[in-house]
Amino acid sequence: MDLYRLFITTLRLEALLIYRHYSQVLNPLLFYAMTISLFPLGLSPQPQLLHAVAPGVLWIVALLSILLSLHPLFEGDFADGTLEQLLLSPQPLSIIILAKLLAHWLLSVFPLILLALLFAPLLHLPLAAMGTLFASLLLGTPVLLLIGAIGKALTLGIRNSSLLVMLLVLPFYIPVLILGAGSVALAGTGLAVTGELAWLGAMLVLALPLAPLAIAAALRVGIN
Amino acid sequence: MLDISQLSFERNDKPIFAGINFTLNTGEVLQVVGPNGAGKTTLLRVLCGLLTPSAGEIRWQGQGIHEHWYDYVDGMIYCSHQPALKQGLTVLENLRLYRGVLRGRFGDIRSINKAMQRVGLAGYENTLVQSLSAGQKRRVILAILLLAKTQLWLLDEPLTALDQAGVKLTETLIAEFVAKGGMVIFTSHQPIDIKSNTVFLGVLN
Repeated sequence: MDLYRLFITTLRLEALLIYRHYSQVLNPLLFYAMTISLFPLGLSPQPQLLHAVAPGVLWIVALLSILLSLHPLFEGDFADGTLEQLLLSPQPLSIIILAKLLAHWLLSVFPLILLALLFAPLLHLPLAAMGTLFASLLLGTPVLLLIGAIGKALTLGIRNSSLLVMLLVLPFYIPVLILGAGSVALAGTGLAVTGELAWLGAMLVLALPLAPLAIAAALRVGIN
Repeated sequence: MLDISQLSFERNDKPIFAGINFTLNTGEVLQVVGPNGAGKTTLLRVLCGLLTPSAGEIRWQGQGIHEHWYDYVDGMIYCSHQPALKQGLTVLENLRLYRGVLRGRFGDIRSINKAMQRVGLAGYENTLVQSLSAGQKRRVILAILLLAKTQLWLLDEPLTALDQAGVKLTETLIAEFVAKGGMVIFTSHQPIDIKSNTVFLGVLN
């Protein structure tokens, strides 16, 4: 019960902070909307062509947007000294981290999923694949965020670390991308996607308890 | 009781301080003084456990702090020279952050109101911390110290930015805290006026 209250308090305060500085979160969302809408203009408005690239494009741009949204993670806590207080807290750090990441996901990544659904018809994604697009992003984006947060925690305090974070985490993003985009492409052709979604789910189940532990350890090392 | 023996710390093979010994008993205050760059902040960061000493030992109630980490952090509060507050949250929300997230034991809502009055911030509960002055941010930290139920305060430059009344208040709070059996280690260049014969001076150079 105590851990539940700790989780809820952290989630509420973190969400409040993100909400009060929403412009920071808005940039990756704008990037998503702009990039997706440039594809029909830059490639060609032909439905067959767009139809073929849509699953990949929707997923790749989502992945890049998440990479862009990693920057503010822990950065504020590091700058104002509350990160030190977190490390000196008698409360379990991984629960606090999980709550912070959930707040981040709800306010900056979930809107991205809604944008993907909104812009999918622009790329002529078949209606049959919409459900899979939603499900695969719902399962895949938390994994991307959790992995990205490990990279961000490892590079905290290093100046101009954005590029370093990207290099660090990109290799680990590839399996998620392949499964995610693959499942949407399969769904478009009417094939079963349970296998891909199950793999994404398995990754999420693995990352959810393990990534916060890794992040906590990385933050402890980083402050030294 | 905080027991420090042969404490040394080096950064990039350059010794910051070496061979520090002292024992702080309940009811005692230690003021760490020294010129800029002497390593006062580093010493405090080693004492609170954020930095690992390169040699020596810190024992809290007879147990090594890194071996019995949770006992130590539950009994200690560290305040960095920059007030560790969220600029985008109000004063009350910051106190909630400390109450719910950062501290194991903390006063309830009623004692929060009392502490706010004590530090002269009554009426500022719903003000964003970013619109407070530097001295007022210090006073929020004082409120946190009042509310955190710990036995040891580690304060890095607690008197900066405070007006005379604020310095007086800090002195009173420290005196009251040690009278109740607390322990305080703080760094400051200012001499502090606490009517107690248990104030020690540690010189770093």
